[in-house]
Order: sequence, then C-alpha cells, then structure tokens
Amino acid sequence: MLNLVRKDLLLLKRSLWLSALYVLLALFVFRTMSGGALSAATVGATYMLMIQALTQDDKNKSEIMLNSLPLRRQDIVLAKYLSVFIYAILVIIGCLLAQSVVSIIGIPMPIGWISLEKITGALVAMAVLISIYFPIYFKFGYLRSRMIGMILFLACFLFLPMVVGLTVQELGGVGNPAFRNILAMLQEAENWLQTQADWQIATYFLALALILMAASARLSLEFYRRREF
Amino acid sequence: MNIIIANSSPEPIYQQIVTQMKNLILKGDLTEAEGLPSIRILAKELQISVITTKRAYEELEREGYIETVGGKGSFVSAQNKELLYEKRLRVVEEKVTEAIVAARNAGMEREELLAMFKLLLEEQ
Amino acid sequence: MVDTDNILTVNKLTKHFKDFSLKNVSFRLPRGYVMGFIGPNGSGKSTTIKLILNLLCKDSGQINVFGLDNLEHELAIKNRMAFVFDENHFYEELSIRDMARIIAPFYRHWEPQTFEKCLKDFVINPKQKIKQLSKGMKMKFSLAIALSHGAELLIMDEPTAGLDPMARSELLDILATLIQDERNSVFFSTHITPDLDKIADYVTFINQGEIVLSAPKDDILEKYGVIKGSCDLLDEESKRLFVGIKTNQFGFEGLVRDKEKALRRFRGLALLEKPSLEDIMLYTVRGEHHA
Repeated sequence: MLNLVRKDLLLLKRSLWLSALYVLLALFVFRTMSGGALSAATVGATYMLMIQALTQDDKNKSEIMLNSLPLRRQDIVLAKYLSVFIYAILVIIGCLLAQSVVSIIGIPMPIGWISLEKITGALVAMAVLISIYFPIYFKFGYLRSRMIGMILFLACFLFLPMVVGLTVQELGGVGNPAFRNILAMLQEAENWLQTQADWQIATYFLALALILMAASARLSLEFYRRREF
Repeated sequence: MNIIIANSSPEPIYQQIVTQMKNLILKGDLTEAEGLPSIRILAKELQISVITTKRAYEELEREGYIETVGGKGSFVSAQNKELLYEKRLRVVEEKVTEAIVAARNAGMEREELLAMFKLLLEEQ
Repeated sequence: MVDTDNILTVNKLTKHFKDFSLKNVSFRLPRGYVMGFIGPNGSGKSTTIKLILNLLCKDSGQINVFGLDNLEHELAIKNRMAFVFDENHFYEELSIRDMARIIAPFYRHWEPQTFEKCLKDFVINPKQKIKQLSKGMKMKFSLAIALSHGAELLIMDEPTAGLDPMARSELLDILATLIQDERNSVFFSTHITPDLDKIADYVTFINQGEIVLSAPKDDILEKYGVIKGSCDLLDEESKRLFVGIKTNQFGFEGLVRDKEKALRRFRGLALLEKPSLEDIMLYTVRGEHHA
C-alpha cells in the first residue's frame, strides 16, 4: 500500500512545486480574511494534488497495469484515502515552512498565520470531501466521477439554496412553526457546543469525520472489488 | 552442422529436420557420441516451434539414429559399423537408382550410361 | 483439480456483455510451450486475457494458472507471471528508472541486476521518459520487467500490433530465449502475424466468443489443406469437404479440414497446398458467415 502512495508522490513531483506556489499565494491573498479562508486554501491545494494523481492514473489507463501487478484491489483503494492525508500534511508543512521563513528572515511580506484550529478544520473538510468523492470515483471511474462531482457542486451551491428558498416561501415564510422548531433545535445545539472546550469540539468533529470516512472506505472497497476494466 | 528449413516445401518441417539429420549422421558429419543441440536451442535457432523439433528428435530416436539421456541431452547413437556401412550402401543405391531413372527418362541407352559412369569415375 | 503439467487451464469460461458473449471457452497450455491465441478483432481474445488477469469478473467457468485458481491465489499467481498489453499502460510522464522503481517493490522476486542487464541488452536508456519511447521500446520495457521478476508465464495481448518487422523479429528472439527454460511458457493473442506464429507450439482459435479449435500447430497444419482447381470439380457432395470456398472466374480455392480425404477425391485433378494459419482463420470466419 505504501508503494502505491509513493507512486502517487513520484507522479506528483512537478505538481508539488506548483501547489507550493499556490499555497504561498493563498497565504498572501487570504491574510486578512477571517474564518475558514485559509483552511479552504489548504483544502484546495490538497484537492488539486489528489485530482492530479487521479488524472495520471486515468490518462494511460494505468489501472489496468496496476491491477495486473501482484497487489490487492483493496490496497489501491486504501492507498488513495491515505495519500490524501499525506498531501494535506505536505501542504500544511509547506504553509508552516513559508511562515517560518518569512518571519525569520523578516521579509516584509504580510501573510496569514495558520493555526491548529484551521488545520483541524481543513482536515475535517478534506475528510468529508473525499468521503463523498471516492466512492463515486471507485464506482464510476475518473471521467464520470468528475462529471458527477460537478453536478453535485452545482446542486449544492445553486439549486439547493433555490429549492430551500422556494420551499420556505411555499410554507408561509419563516413564521411557520416547523421552521421555528428547527431553529430552536439549532440554537440549542449551539448553546451546548458553547459549554464545551475547543479541543472537545475538535474531537467531536474529527470523530464524526472518521466515522464518515470509514463508511465511505467500506463502500469504495465494495465498489472497486467489482470494477471491470 | 547445417540444417536448412524450406517453409515453402510441402514436406512437414519436422520431416525436413529428420531427413537432414539422418544424412548428416550417415555422411559422418555428426559422429558417434557427439552432443546434439537441445530441442529448445534448435527451435530457437531455426525459429520454429519446440514441438516441431521435439517431434523430429523423437522420430530419429525411434529409428535408432540418436539417443536421449535424461538430463544430458541427445547424442548420435553408437552404432554397429557394419550396420552403418550397410546404411551408407543403401544411400548410394538410392542415388544410383535415381540416376538410372533420370537416364531412362532422358532416353539414354544402357551402354551410354555405363560409359558416362566410367568416365566420371576416372575423372575423380 | 491440480494439474501441474498445464501452466494455464481455462475451463468453460463464460462472460456476458450487452453486445457480446464469451461462451464456454476451454483450452489448456502445457508448461514449457508457446500458445498463439488467434481470431479476428472483437472475437473475445482481450476479454479472455482480462478474465485471466482478473481485470474482468467472469460469469462462470474456471481459470487455473500454475494449477491454482486465478481468484483464490491471485497474488501468488501474479507474482509468477507477467503481462504485455497492446497499448501502453505505464505512466507516460515517468522515466524508465522511476517506473521500474514503482513496479519493483510489488514483486517478491525482483532482480535488479537482471533488470539492468535487460536494459543494456535491449538498448533502453533508463533516463528516458516513457512517452519518448517507440512502440517497440515500450514492449521491450514490458519484457524487461517480465524477465526481471522471474515470470514463468508471459501473457501478451496483441504484442505485435503496430510493431515494425525489426521489432517483431527482436520480440521473437526474446521469446525464444525465454522458453529456453522449459519451465516457462508464453501465451499471446494476435490477429495473425506470420513471424510470431512460427514459434507457436499450440494454436487456439476463437471466433465470435467461441473456441473453434485448440491443438498443436503442426497437427492443425498437417490436417488442413488448401485445394485449388477448376470450378466444375465442385458439386454438392464435394463442397461438403470444405470449411470455406472462394470462387472466381477462373477457378476455386478452398480450405478442407481433412486433407487426406480431399486428396482421395481430387488427386490429379486439383492442386493441394499447405495452409497458413491465416488461411484457416479467414476461411473459417468467412465460412461461418455464409452459413
């Protein structure tokens, strides 16, 4: 399995430099933005690397070659999950290095600081993202998975708000008791979270992400076992 | 040792090998106890299949021309000198018969043929 | 069932697709020999090979490699066999050296010295990127990998497609060297390349997903014959001797399955020629289309 991760890293040699540049740029551009902007940039760089690796597999139909080697299909699946976190770690290390270099040499370049909080946020977001994407990829292959990904993206950011908005209107606006109940529940959840320490919240999210990812991996393994080339 | 395979010949390839090897043995080009190339090397060199060379060797073995020692390869059989001589006589007989047939087909007289034979013998 | 004499056994293999089916495919390749797997495009050659490699899931039937079930012992089997595909499936961006670095750790018996020697023998520069290699070079790179992990069974899908005669002749040489070791076997598919067929010990012929024949090549070539003669020799009865017949204004040419029988009928009247595998394939495919 580690061989497969190493393989992806070898293939990404050139892309790694590109993403380093990207991270530096992101640190500069997003320096003043609050909240998740930096986490999003980390996720973006990691996602870029992941897609790059998948593109390489797809371009030469190399899965045919890989699956003819003495290795288990499950290793191919698990290696993909694992490698994403390696990319994430590389990107984060890149960020930290850039920060240290800037602060030590004292380059007068204002950059954002990545905190533990943001790192956790990025990792959780990445876990959720691949938990949704990989089962689709292992079921339908690269090309169709990219298409489905696109559709899902559009659905989330364009159609879903539209549909929700319309539904709310249909039901007589936010004054409807059903909505008031939902809002109340959310408020309660928030209140409860307020009582928890930061590290506890982080743990909850990490645990949730891990459960989601385990389920996703199970699904991917099952799909890939039956994949035909 | 030369073996020439004619792909266009109607004679099966294994048969071509058998015939040529027999000739080599009878002519004494391949001598007693001399190691023969393995069937796989022969197949590689002649660019033919292993089954073909294997069959040729089996045929030669059956007729007593060669022997195969497990693990050591194939060798020309140690043969009785008289038997070998007789075999050679038979080859000469065959060739002379061939000449006679050719002469007859060409319409040569018996005396004419004998004269030619003597002349050739003396020239040698 | 364990059979050690046969390095590859395919038994009643069946696979259905929407528009094509592989039906009851059976054949066996004895250890130490070369089998050519011939048939027209789309006849099921690649499907069979992919099923052997477990790239496709079979519907039914059995595949044994080295006497072991190909699914149950997939890793053990793949450690001892090698493959060459008609297209390149290596990562084009990588150099030969890097690609080998990726592949080597997967094999239990990888021999770096052998690999280096192969690169030298085949005149492959390890620093070159795979996309810069010619088709023949890519094939030789695949073979270098095959030879470097001590593969006993080499499976090749259309290895000569797109190769020039020089590269084909080199391939022939490498294969002949490989089977100098009598434990090694080669199974290759082709839609007929006379040079490669020369070294095939066995021939399996597939058409429309079904095996037409599978036998030693010499037996096939000795039994079949091509008959040429004038059209008036053909009547209903004699036509039945033929697998397929092609007629033109000046005569006919046809393939017979039993040369001796045909000879008894046509002796002195028609010409008998040695068939090529191509003849056998063409007449069989065409003959079936006529029926």
